[in-house]
Amino acid sequence: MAYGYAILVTLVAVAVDEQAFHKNTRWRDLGAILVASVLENVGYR
Amino acid sequence: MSVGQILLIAGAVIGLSCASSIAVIAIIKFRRGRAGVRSRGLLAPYRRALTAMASGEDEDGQAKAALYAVPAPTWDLLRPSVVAFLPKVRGTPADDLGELLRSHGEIERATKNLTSRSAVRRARAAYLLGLVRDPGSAALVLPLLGDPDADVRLVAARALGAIGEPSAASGVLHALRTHQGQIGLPAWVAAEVLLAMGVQTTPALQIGLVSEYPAVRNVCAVVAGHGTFSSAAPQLRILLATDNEGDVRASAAVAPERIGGADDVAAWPWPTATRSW
Repeated sequence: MAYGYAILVTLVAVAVDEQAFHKNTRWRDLGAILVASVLENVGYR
Repeated sequence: MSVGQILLIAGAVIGLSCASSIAVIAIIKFRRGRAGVRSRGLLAPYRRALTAMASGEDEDGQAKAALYAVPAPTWDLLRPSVVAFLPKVRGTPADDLGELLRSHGEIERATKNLTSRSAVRRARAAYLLGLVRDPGSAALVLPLLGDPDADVRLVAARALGAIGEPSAASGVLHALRTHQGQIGLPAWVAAEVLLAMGVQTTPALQIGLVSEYPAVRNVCAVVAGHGTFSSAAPQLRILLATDNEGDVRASAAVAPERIGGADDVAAWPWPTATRSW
């Protein structure tokens, strides 16, 4: 549950970032961020 | 309802929210990509014309004619590029870009927005009028030096500096005063603006040098020194000898380095003059 919530918070942050600043010009960068939003909870935190 | 069921429902809600977030991110990215392609397509015919105008190579006036005829929906997309070019050019290209903005009603819109309820709009309007550098706009931007929003005051001051209208100098000095515990305008911004206005601000500086406000005297002393306004030298000598504020005396002491003569060495405070640096 806690991991799911952490992933959700990151995803919402990415959505807001994409809407406001659109720094990620390539789909691949966006995919990497989405994968990282899951992986960051494994060991990193 | 058992704890297990509650956890299951909460997990499902979080999972659905995650999936929704990913979908939202993908939609935003997709829509932005499409808008970018559409925008590039609409702007493509005008890119060469804008570059020609901004580089001053529109000798036959074709670029001007093409850009003046840009339809309103395309102009909304082209406008940021025109505004981005303005601070980078001088002379005829800057005048041409300013006239282009005027022809599309941007100056009129900016003038109206100077009194908008939104601080962002007021600041943007002042910024645009500053970029166009029309001396007639100085009187319109000047009241924003007393704006309740500090950022708007800052942008307005810089716009006045860009316009370079010396009649606004006394307004800039007036904005230095602290009002209801708030600094009207940072001293270094006011100094930059006054220096940008040039030597014609000397009368305003001479009045400012005897102001009752130390911030005003200080900025005037700095500007008189950096701008080599030699007619202010006698007043600076008086400030150096008599002013109660250390900052003002320090600024007045530095100014003779640029506008003073050999006689000013004697006027320097003895310990400062002989200090080994």
